[in-house]
Amino acid sequence: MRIVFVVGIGAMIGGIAWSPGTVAQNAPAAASAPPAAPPAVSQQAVRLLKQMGAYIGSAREFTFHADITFDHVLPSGQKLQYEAAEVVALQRPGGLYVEWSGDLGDRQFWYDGKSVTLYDPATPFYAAETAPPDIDAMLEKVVTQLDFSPPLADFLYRDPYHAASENIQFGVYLGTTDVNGRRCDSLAFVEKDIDWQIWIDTGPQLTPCKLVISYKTQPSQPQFSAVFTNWNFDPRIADSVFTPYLPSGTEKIPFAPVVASASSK
Amino acid sequence: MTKWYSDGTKPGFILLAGAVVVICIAFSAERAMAFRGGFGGFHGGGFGGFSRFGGFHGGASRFGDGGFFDHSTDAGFGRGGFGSVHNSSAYTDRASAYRQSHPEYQYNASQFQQTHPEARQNASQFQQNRFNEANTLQQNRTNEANTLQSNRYNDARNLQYNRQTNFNNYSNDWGGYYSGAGFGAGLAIGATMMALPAAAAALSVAGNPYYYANGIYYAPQGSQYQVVPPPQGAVVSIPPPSCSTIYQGSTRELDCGGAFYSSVPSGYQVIPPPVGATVTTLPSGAVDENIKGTTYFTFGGAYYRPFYSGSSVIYEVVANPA
Repeated sequence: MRIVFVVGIGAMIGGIAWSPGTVAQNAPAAASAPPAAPPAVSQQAVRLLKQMGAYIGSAREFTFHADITFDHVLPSGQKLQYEAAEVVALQRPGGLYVEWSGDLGDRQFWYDGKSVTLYDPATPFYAAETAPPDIDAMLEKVVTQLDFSPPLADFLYRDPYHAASENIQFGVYLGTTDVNGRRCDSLAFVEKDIDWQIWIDTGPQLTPCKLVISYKTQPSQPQFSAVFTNWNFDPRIADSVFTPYLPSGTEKIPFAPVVASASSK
Repeated sequence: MTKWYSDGTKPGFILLAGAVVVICIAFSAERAMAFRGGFGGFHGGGFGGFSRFGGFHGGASRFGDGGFFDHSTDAGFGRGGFGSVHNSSAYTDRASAYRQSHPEYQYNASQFQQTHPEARQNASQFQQNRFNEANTLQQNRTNEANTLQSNRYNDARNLQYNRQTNFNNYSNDWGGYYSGAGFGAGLAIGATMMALPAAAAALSVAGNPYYYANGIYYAPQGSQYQVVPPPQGAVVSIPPPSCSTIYQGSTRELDCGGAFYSSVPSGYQVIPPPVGATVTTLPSGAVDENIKGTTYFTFGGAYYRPFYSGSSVIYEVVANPA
């Protein structure tokens, strides 16, 4: 991948604007508490992220494909990288299908506005649970109560900008670069627990080209990376796509409830 | 499942590899408590013996040998919110909680070697063996992927059994209640290699030869060596690299990322999994049984109940539900 930065590092830093209000930080600090440092995010980065979020969030339905790599850390600290492919079909307000096919196994996930179903094709079992009627609430439920979420869930929310920017501390616009033949704007963000980068198509479709998340507070700083292709905003998704399609004989088993621990929220 | 594509093309999935069959056992007091609540009265009885492990240091649930970033069970599919910026805080909180309860994962590589001198011995040869093992593992995984791809739509249940059979050719000699889980340093059960690690020590369990190094058991298979689950009854002088201490009464035991060990005068002995433990793969030869409308798997007198933990299917060891 050829990277052409249109601005230098100094210019990037220089271009950062203190932008209170652009990222969630509206609550005034208590009088006795030291004020929290406001996030420093370049206005261009905020603008591009908002544009991308508005473009995706306003779509009634879409499909996309993502080629993913993710790290698997051994006790010694050694990282192993694995790959997966993910296909997503979304139809608002209550339709989602995610198909994951990877080195370490496959998963299928259905949401029909009433329930979610998860299936590991390497087993004869699936699990299902009732779910709220819209995708945002459903995503919150699965991550908090069922202990997973479809990878790349950020782009499934009604407001992807809000979903992705809640915890940003620092953000810069890096310039433009080619990702799989697409001309994309490159943005980099810093959060408390992760650093992440996103590449956004320069247009006309303001869709993500690539996402990289670095879990910097974890041993060996594992990464998750996704390269997006085949964005389609007129896919004519059949309703049956969101209905679980399970081999005969597949049995339903329970989800284990998530247990809150002192440090696990 | 690709019929939403208006041009009729399929997304062109390439099955990059099959599932790595890494057996691991998760054992958590908190998780067990959750099962109790979630599964109702039945499991209240099933976990009666679990309170013996009150000394187990808590924390997040165990998911594999490589800590929270071991994706051998969830296939990378979003456990705890993995792969999402929005859910990164929840995910890292879970991962941090895991590390706090498993201090071995706070080590860096050099600390790991210092605390595991066996891993330092003849490091270059160990590294070479690791490469050999990785190559063999990759080949095995590719082979398995091909098999999985052709079989997966035929009969998922048979596939499950086939996988276990493929990876447990040595199981006839294990015997006993349960052979325990087996993996080490990310190596899959069933992986074969031409040479043993330099630090491998010879063992004999129930008259069968094994070799042990750095938490991994190898069984001779022709001119090669196959990674096998820890054979129940095996006694080793050095426990696997990552273990948590649990107590049964005053007896100190080790949960070594899935295999359970009891301290004995000559070292550490592989023991059966206790009720409340969860395994990601069933022991070879386990058969399903419907009891009061619920599917269980039985093997050697132990009962396993399947459920989804996050995006992973795992099996809980329960008391006899009949």
